[in-house]
Amino acid sequence: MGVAVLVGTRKGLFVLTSDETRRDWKVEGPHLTGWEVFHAMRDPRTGTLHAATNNWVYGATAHRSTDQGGTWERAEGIGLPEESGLTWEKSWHVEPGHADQPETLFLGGTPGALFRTDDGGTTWEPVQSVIEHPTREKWNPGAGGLCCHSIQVDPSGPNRMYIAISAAGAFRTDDGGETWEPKNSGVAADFFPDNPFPEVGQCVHKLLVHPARPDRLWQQNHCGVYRSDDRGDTWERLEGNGLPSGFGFPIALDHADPDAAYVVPEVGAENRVTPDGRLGIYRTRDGGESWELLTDGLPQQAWASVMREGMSFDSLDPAGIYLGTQGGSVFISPDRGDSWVEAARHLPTILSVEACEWS
Amino acid sequence: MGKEGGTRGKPGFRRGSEPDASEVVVVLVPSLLAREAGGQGRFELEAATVREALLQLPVRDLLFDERETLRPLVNVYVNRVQVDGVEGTVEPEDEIRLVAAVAGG
Repeated sequence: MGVAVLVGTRKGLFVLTSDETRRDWKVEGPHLTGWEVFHAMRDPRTGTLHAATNNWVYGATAHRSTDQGGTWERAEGIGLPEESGLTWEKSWHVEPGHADQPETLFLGGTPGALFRTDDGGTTWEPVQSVIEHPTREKWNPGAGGLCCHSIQVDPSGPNRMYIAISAAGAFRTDDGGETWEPKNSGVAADFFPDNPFPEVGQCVHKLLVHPARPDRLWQQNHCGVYRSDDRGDTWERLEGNGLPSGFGFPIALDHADPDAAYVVPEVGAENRVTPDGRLGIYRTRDGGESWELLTDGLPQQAWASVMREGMSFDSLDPAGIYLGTQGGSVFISPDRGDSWVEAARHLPTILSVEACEWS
Repeated sequence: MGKEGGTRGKPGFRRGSEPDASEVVVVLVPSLLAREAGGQGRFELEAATVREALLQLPVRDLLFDERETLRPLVNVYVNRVQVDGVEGTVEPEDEIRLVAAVAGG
């Protein structure tokens, strides 16, 4: 089996391929020229590639390819209902549904909206319960707009899933999307000094469910790194003990180790660049109690930034960790972060990386 | 995937000699839209207004939002003269050219 990284950029989609050693990489592309690819993934259930695509003139949509990027089809018109008073602005993230529902996928984006398809991505319908969420009036857009960027389906059943919206916070459904409960207890919103722990309004930057221990969630937030061991009911703030900053955008996990996580801290909201003049990736292996700086193979003179979709992890042994910078470099570790190779450089601004199987 | 046809029934694409070329308007689209239309950058179709013509294109969802409002950075020229909006009428043999606004990076 081969491995690929789907690299979404401001100027199309690139595909990096390698074998299981993940040391030597071949760069193919760009596909979807003219489109900003905010996120792309290979659906492991069908092998179809899906991309969340945007163009500054022609708006937001989604594309799919059933021949590994050889040809692409655009989704039929994606739109929000007239009575909502909202229009679809940006496609941010496309996520496979549960393994038992192979034709179901989800698409999130701006303005704080979630779409669902039950025909493999031909047609997409808005999830009304998100559009009409009773707390929507308390949501505020972050710098990237009111974006629904994190969509996680609990692998233990299709009725439970999570979304996160900047800056509305995290939400969980236990009834297949009929209702969504805010899950932000213990998560700070320091930009509300009069109420730093509101029910909603938190600025989640990325939220992930651990694939082997789905009760455990991780999030990189505007205001800290957090872990939840009770499906988001409560959150514990984790920075300190080696982490130079709580501010950052992406987070990655190790499929085989629920206590491991990887983040790329930035100095802070007012200076969005990696600290100490180097590209520092930080790893915890004890659930966030301590963090260690990873350096082997990473540039030690760098002022980098990584977008919220700019990290990924694979399902191989040992786990591979993937990183794409806004400067156009892709760094890959085939050994859980111990060492890194620069798989590509000088790509357009990288918006997303997603590792997947490739044949 | 991909839109075909307009909102009022039968798609208006015309290839070959039917109807007579003198009865149709021509729509020219930029290269990105041509790729999204399967490589077709020139369309001949019957329409009484600019809107009616554009809503027949297979890329109509890229030209209009879900309220059928023309996206603000899509500029429309009829017979090489820029027009304001899409409500204007067109005559057979008119040429509608779509141009993306100069913006972005």
